[in-house]
Amino acid sequence: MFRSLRTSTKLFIVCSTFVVSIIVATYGLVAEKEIAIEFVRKELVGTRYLQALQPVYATILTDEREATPVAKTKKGIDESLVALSTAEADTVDSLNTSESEQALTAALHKLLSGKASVIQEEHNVGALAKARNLASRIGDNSNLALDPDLDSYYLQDIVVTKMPTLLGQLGELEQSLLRASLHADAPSNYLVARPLITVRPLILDGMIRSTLEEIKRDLAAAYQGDTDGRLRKTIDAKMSSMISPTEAYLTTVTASHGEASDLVAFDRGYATAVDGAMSAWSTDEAELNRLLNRRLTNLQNKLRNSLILNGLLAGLSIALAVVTYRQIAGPLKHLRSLAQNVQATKNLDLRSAYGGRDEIGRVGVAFNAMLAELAEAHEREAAEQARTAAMQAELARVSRVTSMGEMAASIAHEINQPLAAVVTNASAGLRWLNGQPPDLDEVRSALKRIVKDGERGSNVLASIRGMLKKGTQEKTALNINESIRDVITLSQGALKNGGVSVQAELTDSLPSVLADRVQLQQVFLNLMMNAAEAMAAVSDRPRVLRVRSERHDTGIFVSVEDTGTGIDPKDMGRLFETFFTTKPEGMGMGLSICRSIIESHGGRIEVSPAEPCGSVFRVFLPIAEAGKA
Amino acid sequence: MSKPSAVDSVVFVVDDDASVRAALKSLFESVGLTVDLFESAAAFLQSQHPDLPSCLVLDVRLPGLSGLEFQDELLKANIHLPIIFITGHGDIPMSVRAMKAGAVEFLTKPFRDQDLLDAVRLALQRDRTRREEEKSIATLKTRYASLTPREKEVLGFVTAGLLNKQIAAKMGVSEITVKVHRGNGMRKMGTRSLAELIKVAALLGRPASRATI
Repeated sequence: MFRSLRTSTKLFIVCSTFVVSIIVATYGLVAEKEIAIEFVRKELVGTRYLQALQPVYATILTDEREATPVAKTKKGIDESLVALSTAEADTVDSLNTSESEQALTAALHKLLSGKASVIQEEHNVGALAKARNLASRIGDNSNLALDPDLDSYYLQDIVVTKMPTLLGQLGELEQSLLRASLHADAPSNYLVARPLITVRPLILDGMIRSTLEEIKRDLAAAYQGDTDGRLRKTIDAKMSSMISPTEAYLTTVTASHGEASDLVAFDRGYATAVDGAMSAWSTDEAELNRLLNRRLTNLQNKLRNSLILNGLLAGLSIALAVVTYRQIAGPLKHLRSLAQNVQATKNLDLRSAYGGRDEIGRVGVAFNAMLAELAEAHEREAAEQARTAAMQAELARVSRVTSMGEMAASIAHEINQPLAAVVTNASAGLRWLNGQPPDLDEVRSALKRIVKDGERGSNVLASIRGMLKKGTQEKTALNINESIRDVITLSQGALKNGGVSVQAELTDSLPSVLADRVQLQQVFLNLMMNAAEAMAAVSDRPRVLRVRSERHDTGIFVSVEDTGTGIDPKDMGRLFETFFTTKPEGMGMGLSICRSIIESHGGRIEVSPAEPCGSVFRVFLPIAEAGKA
Repeated sequence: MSKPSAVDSVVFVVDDDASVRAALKSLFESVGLTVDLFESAAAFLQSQHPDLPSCLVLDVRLPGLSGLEFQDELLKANIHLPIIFITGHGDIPMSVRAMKAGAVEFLTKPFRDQDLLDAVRLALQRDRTRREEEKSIATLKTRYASLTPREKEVLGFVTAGLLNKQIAAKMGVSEITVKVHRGNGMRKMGTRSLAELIKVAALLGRPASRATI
């Protein structure tokens, strides 16, 4: 079924299959890239949320250090709340963090309502915990925690987990130092509890240091994935400006052994540390954003490039298919039209101009070779035909000359015989006349013989003239049976001498044929004489000559059959050839003349063996058409 | 024009053409020759021929057996008739063959009457000579047969060139006896001289060699 399709259709199918496969591959690629892009986008949503979380931290952490006017604090918290709810509204569809956000909002509301007291401290710590919770929730839900790249993974770990932890711990340390200072103001009341109060900052100090260590480790790991060194360049200084003040602050705190001896120094250290941390956080955050955006751009570029590449591939395959079609169908069409042209014009000198080195080019070359071969064969055939024609013409000429020579010899003999007789008779007559006495009777009879011989010679010449007139035969509508009977009558004597009995089986009321009577009689006479000769050597069976005439569709058959010795089968085919003879003294003229006469009458003559012996010659003559008769 | 006696020879004419036969008959009869006509070789062979000097005037082109083949047949049958060929369209190979086989003349129709008559006369003369030779040899054979054995023996030695004396010695008889036998023999053989006797011996095919030793 595929075979019967046109080449263009086949190519179209192949091309379509290819294009479809490209589209399927592209679809898979796009889907994969889309997933990656969606992933990054979600991460970016997370970082935006985290950005919104930074002022919240700033508000919580700055709030408790100094005797800040409540209005300002309130304003900061209000702004934080607005920023939070905006961020939450933006991401409510993707991140599912509303629970943590509400918890934080509630904690912030508590901060608003409270005063600077222990409870307030508790609220602060609670808010920090809630904020950290929210941050880690954002990290989990926005895929940040699943980030696939080395640099961005560790950076998000810092941004999402470590920095909130650090800030929370710094805030808690500040709170615990604050509480210690409050208890220092009333040592008598809290004597027993005092060690507990001073131990707390020390524990936090250790935790903060370990967090710092973790941040350093994360950084080192992030730098591993940072191939161009830009990340390090950007955040290294910031991180140092966070870590060293923090460590200095911690050193200060440790040096005080938990005693809130110098609150001012603490506050300064704390503020520097928190500023550094906030600054580092926001820088980290910005870098993370940058990395994610870069990845997003990369992915989008890759997707676009892949799409362009696949589009180009599809276009190329279509173009290739079109070109291939042109290169197959074009030359094929050209060859077909060439073949048709050759067929129509019979001009074998036409050649295909297409001679590429591909299969069709080879077909073209083979086609040309075939045409050349054909032309050559044609030429050979034409030359052969010309030669055959020339040979036949030459043969005809030679045979004409030869037969004329033979004819002349035969004529010469026929005339020579009476002539010789005349001369001899005349000589004899003279001698009788010169005799003493002259014998006039003998002279008279000699002269009579001379007259007779002269007439005989004249007859010969007349018959030759008749033969020469053969070309202008006088055709008349004649009854063929009459002609046959005439010939039988004429040859009766010769046949009787040869001991031949004649059986004439002539069909009555045959239509007439248009023929030259004399020529036809020559033919029948010749056939009968041949038959009589063929039976001359027969002694063991009756010598019968059977002449038949019968009607056929379009003509009349006359058959002359003998019971003679028959014809050698190997001679059968040559019997009618000029100069072919089986008789020692024959010239090979009789049957060939018979055939040319019969053929000039539009008939034919053939010979076959008779049963049980002898041969039969059959002459076919067409019946005269009504108009011509 | 000589006039040979009417009955001492006969000319046989074999030709398939009746008018030619009739003309030839008239021509030969006009010079006093006896003519016998045949239309074919077969007819000639079947007929009886008079034992007279004769010759054959033969057309080369005959129905059935051709003239040349007929000539061969005659030679094979040891019939030594002189033959004159006449032909309508003779060619050189044909005439050469005919002459080689002993034909007297080969004439092309139409021929001059004198040529034919001369050829016939020559042929008849040849046949007559041949017949006379055959006849004389027959006479000699008869004479030779009449000799006594002694006479034959003596004549044998004589023709071998021996003297009477030598013969007498060889035969163991007297010289007189030899002379008597020799004289009788010579007389019986009809010879008058030794030379004549030797010629007769040669004709009889009895060379002297037989008695030489």
